[in-house]
Amino acid sequence: MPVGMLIGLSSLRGKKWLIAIVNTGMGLPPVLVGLVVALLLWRSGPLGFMGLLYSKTAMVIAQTIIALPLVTAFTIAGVQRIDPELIRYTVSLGATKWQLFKIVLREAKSTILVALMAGFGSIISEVGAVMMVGGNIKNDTMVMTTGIMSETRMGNFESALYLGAILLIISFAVNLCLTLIQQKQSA
Amino acid sequence: MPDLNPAETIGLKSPLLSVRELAFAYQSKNSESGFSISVKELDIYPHNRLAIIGPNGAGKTTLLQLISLLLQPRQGIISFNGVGLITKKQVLDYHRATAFVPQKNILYNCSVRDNVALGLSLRKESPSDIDAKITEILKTLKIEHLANKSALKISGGEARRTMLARALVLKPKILFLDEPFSDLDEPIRRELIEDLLPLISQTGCATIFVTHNQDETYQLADRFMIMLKGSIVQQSNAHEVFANPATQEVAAFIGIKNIIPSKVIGFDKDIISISLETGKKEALKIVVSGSKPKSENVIVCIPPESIVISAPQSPEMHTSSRNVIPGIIKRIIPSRYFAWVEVDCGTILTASITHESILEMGLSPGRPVRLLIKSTAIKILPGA
Repeated sequence: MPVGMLIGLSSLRGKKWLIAIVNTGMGLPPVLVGLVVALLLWRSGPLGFMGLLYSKTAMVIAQTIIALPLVTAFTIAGVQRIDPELIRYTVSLGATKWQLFKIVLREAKSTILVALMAGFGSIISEVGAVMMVGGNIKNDTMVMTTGIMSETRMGNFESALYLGAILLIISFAVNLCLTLIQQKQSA
Repeated sequence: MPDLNPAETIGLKSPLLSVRELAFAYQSKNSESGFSISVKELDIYPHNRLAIIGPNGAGKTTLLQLISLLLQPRQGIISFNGVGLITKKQVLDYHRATAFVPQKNILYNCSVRDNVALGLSLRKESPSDIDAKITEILKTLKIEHLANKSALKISGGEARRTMLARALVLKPKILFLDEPFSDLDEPIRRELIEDLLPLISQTGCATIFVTHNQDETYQLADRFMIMLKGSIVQQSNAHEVFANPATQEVAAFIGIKNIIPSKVIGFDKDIISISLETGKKEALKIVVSGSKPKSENVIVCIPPESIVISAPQSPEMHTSSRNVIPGIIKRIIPSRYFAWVEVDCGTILTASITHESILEMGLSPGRPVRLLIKSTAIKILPGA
């Protein structure tokens, strides 16, 4: 989000390129992210000494990489939709850089909440990357999506479906909260 | 610039804001729409009320944004209270000591009250202080009933009032107003000006405002600055600008319709004889009172309201007018309070006459008339 704010507010020469790269990142295949992170964390890989492969930390790293471009791109879009005159005016009203940041964030609130929903949606439903870097270890790095896969492979369709239902309920609950916040202000 | 006398700079008369050698250019991909602004010298003293007037596209808004530091000038020094504004801290302090009301409605996505409070909360004032100040200003500007309404759902006039409240509640040292009353219907505009004037004098701030509506300026300003094509062409009090426009362009802008290149043909005891260019063999001669012009080529300006139309058959001149010019009515163009009557006297002279007079005298295109012009009503500008 802060990255998106910075890019959205800045007037760098390479801004268009940067935005194009971030937008490409939105279509980043999670499996590819998983592969790259796994290779980096592999015991013989460059970051292997940290012993992070097949750990929760590794999964968080991979998920962050997947969600980052989504959240960033939506934030950029939200910030850019704000009237540049409003930004200049806010400065003349006596806002410091930090105060301007907060005001812009508030003005772009509804798009930024979409950014959070998109980011959340992309990672909660993700299988490939967490599987590759987490290893799907029961009671440790197994998450619901990978759990559904395991159960299905073992023929436990019933528990797989239950897991799926729970996953949907959680997802719905989170999105409901975010949507309520988003819709509240426009009332 | 001559060196400033130190006694003067610390005296009471030191300017609140001073601008020197300001320059700015709009970069634009198609070079035609780019333009530049330059201002040599501009001083604003406490309680000044300066109007920057000029036609659309003269750069008035840009100039206002430059001196309020909404835009960064390319060159030049802007000093506030005698200190140049250079560091970020100085610029922030300057922004916090002044207030800008943009032409466009800029409202934040929150209630009217929160919009008005924003400047104060940016200055980290205590919530109870903010509350008291907001309640007062909302009442003065008659928008207290809107306090809890979303600012994005109010009318144009209410939005203006909200933005003025947001600026004035800060008790700024300088108030910048960019076309504050454009887009408002006449009664709403008048009401807003009536409410605003006492508030401005009460706040005691210097006011700089931009407009292309000259009627507004009389009520709001004590100093005029006329801007044409990115530079200031005349600066003085209101009466002076209208009595003695500095250039042909200023004269045209302030509505002096009859601007005619002419030649001085004689001078005798404060009376100048001038021949107006007519494009015909027979020149049109008039007399003007005033001191001898420097050059033979002059530009004659005759305000339309100082031309009197009389019927040609009326008994021989019981008039004090030195100039009696025969002509034929070419066109009558009605406007709100009066009509423009264009009379062909060799060159076209336009007079403004009330609708009643036109009916009474039975004026219509093609009719011969006589124009009476007092020699003191004619202004002479140096010609090219």
